[in-house]
Amino acid sequence: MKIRYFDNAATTRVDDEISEIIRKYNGELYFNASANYSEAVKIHNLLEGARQKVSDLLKGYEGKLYFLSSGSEGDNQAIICAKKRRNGNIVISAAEHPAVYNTAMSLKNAGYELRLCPVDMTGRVQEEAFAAMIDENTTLVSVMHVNNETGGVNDIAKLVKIAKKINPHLLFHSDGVQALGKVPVNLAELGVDLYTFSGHKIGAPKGIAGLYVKKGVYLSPLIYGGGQEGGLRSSTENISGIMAFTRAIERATSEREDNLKKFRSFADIIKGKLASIEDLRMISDDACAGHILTFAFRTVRGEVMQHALSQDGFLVGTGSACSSTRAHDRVPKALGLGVYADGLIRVSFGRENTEEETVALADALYRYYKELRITDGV
Amino acid sequence: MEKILVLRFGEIYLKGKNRFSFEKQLLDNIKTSLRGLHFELKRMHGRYLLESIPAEELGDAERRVKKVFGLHSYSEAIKIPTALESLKEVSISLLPESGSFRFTVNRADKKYYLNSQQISMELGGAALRHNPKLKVDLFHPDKEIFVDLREEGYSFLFADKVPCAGGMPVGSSGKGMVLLSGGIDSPVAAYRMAKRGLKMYGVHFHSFPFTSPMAKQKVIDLAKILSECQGGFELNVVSFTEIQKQIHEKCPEEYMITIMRRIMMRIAERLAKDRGCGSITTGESLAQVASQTQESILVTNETVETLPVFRPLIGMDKEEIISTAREIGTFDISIKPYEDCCTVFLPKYPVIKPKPELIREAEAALDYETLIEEALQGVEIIKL
Repeated sequence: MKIRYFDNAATTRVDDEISEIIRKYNGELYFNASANYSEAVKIHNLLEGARQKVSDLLKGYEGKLYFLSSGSEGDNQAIICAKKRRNGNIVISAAEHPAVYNTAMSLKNAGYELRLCPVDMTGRVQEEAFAAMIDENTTLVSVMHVNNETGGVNDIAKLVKIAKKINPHLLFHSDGVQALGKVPVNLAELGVDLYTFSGHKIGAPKGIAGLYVKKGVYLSPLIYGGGQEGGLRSSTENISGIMAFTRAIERATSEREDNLKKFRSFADIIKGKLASIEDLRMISDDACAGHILTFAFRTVRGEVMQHALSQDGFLVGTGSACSSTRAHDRVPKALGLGVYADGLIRVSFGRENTEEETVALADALYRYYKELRITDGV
Repeated sequence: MEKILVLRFGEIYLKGKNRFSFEKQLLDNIKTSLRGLHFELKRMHGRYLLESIPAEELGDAERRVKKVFGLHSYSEAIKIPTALESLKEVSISLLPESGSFRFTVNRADKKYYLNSQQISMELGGAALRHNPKLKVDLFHPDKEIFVDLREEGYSFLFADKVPCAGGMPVGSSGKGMVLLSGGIDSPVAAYRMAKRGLKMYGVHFHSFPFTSPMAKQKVIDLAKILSECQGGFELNVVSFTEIQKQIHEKCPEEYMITIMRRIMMRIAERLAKDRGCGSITTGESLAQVASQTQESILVTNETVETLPVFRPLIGMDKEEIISTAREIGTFDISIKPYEDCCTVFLPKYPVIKPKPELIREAEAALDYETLIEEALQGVEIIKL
């Protein structure tokens, strides 16, 4: 069965170009970047060159980029290890990814006050409510750049200004894992203190990610050891991952606008096909990042639709995992999906998707909706 | 210096003239459980020896023999050519830093120039000279070291006994069919019956696309664990989607679970007879959920007419079941959050004390004979 992959917000395929980079830096240029012989110095220079390159691509002049192992690690590193005011409060959006939400919850258990800022249906924080939550005791804010369930884009630059105007001492972190390569990421303009981004969402392998730290922001290490990454993140540098990641960012940046056009036209194909379905609610709107198209059925559970599609090789994402456990319904609830919460389907496009397979997906969605809605227990 | 395993059996000792058939079953089961590994299995007066195991496979072999029902314990032993000096050296290495010890020597090699008592004295003397903090205690030693001199010119030495699973050799009681849901209870029920010597077969009902492929994978993972305990496991996966749809459409919502279970039992019975199983096992525990009341069990039980239905967990608390599930390693798999087909169409208010005549009447709306036939034709057999 041919796989037609529409879950690129979950992870992406590593293609031959990136695989070759990974092979090269494991098979030939594998030396430990921190060793004291000339082969290693070469690796060290390549590594620092890559750091500079990524920094240039993301306009990270006002800070430094650190490489680490995952978006989750970046979020943990930023939220747990940023210097915070004792007894201060932490403001995050209600639709944050678990890597931010659960990390913030751990701080709540450690005595910080946690404030959840309400969001609209696409996961964008409501700016007035946001401003009302910030006060002189706010020590850390974390708002995701692009929502992973809906593609909703937060105006981070504006939120940073709002927050810092009320309290210039607070630190602003943003999880940019779904933003990198999908919307313009200009760290200087965003004005954030901390920004997390990850490789495997843009064609690099799993196990490589980045954290931007603005000058003057003090972070203690999460992982101690040999003092790599300026002492912030010990462990032997993942040179193959870093080189692959750097190339993937470069490629995603140059292809971004073309991809966006393509994704928008794909989204239109699906929207057109499903337009006649009355109990369907489109959640992603035109202001959302183009690679994610999320919608919800009222009478077919998302998980059931996902399984049905997979029979034909269409792989899509779904929001709420399982209605019996209710472990994963935090975000659908925050988005205010009501009776649609169980029916969430997330289609996410990648650089390799074609129009032909999108048409086939739209047809399959329509067909399975007709087939499954009658009998599904609602 | 080679490491071997000494295996001992348990309850078979109690058997009389039919002991031979139990032992044969056990030997077969040990061999099956070690499939894929390199070894030689030898019988030696009331024990088995597992020899010639490559070093890299030893840990795997130990893990597997621990799970073989019918074995009571095993010991890792050191095998060396019989020579007094090396016996001394190895036996000393098995002794603790301090405390009391004894050597128990068994001399099968009657041609050896020392008898077993003389050998013990030689070894004991060497041990005491090596470490004066040790002392000999023949009656209540802290550590007992066993030394066996074999006729073939080598000896083996061992100290500690590691408990194995116990019970009866799987297959010595025949075959049984268990309904495996993917929850905590049914694998424990299967385990307990396998421990009493039943070779278990499994039937699982899934409702794709209403249940996820992960829910099925979860049952396969559970079946793998059971497979390790009994040396192979045949899992029959029955698609329940059509039956569930029909029940959903044609029967009152509150009877749904009861009718579902009645049809599952019918399918299980037919599969069981086809596979030569002499019983059906379920993981029911009284009063745990609505379908596990006396009345519900009566109504589901009446569909099985030709086989006994075993419910080994019927009087156990959830905590007790969980504790066994943890012990045998199924708990962490069972609690993974994927729905099985019982939970997909879950009615809000299932009937707790169903009346047999009302259920039969409601069930009559279905052509269940045809549905069962179709389900049985599509059964997927997964051999683990």
